[in-house]
Amino acid sequence: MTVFNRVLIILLAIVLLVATGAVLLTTLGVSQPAQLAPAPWFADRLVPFTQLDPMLFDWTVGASAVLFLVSLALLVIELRPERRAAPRITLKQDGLGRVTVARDGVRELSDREAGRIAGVMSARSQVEEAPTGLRIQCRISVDPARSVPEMSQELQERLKAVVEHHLGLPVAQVSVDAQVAPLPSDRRPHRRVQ
Amino acid sequence: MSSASVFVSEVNLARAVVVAVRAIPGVVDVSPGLFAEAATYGPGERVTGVVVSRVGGALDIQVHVCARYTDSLVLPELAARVRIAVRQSVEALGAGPLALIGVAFDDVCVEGELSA
Repeated sequence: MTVFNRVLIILLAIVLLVATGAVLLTTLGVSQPAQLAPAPWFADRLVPFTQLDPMLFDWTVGASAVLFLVSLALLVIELRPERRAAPRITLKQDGLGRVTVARDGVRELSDREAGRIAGVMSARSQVEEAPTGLRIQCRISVDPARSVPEMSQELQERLKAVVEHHLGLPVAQVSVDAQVAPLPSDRRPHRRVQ
Repeated sequence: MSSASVFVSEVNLARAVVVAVRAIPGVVDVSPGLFAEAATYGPGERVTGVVVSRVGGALDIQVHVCARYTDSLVLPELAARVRIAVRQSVEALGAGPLALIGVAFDDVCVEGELSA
């Protein structure tokens, strides 16, 4: 979801939360419209809810309560911080502390190995940790003259072997997504030790 | 031989650790850290790449390194060599008991790319 959509939903949820909250408080007689809404425009809209017949009262309270809860849930969902992958992968943890490697380093290692396979023009990898081992998703741009199934199998075997060798961690899955078109160069520039 | 330790400042210890780690085959250099600066600060100076702190009198040393990418590179083995080098540096200085030695590989560098 884009930032714009997210902001829009947050604003709508806030408006709905305020409106349904005000209607509920007015209908239940907890507050007067003038207390809830300093602006005359909003207070005028709340006045009809002060004198509802029993049938409408039940419907108004029920519908307002449901909308209030829905808007509250939407707001909580949208404001909840996104889960982001940890920037480091733990190779080992013992009594002496942790040994970690930067996730970007593993991605580049994977990209580099993929690029060594004949027919692979460029590669972009994603590495995730799973309970059973590392999961590698490798997107490659390939030479159309080559056999994609053979190339993909070679890539899967090679990435599994190389990453397990260099990192000492099991690789649970290697997914390959091959395309003929060049990959977009959206990876941020590599940082190097000087 | 006495096992008593002498006080060595964090910065001096960090400097010794940097020298020892740089000498390990497979280590290109210490790394300044990826997300926050990894350094040990002293009066008017800092040593980047190694964070030395004391927790309850024991030393906590975190080393950030850039590893040299070769076919024979095995990061857990390299981490073990880094830990040995750190331990030897601390023992050579008589700097006190070691609690933790963390190793963080911030980058895996290829020889050709480094010289470019």
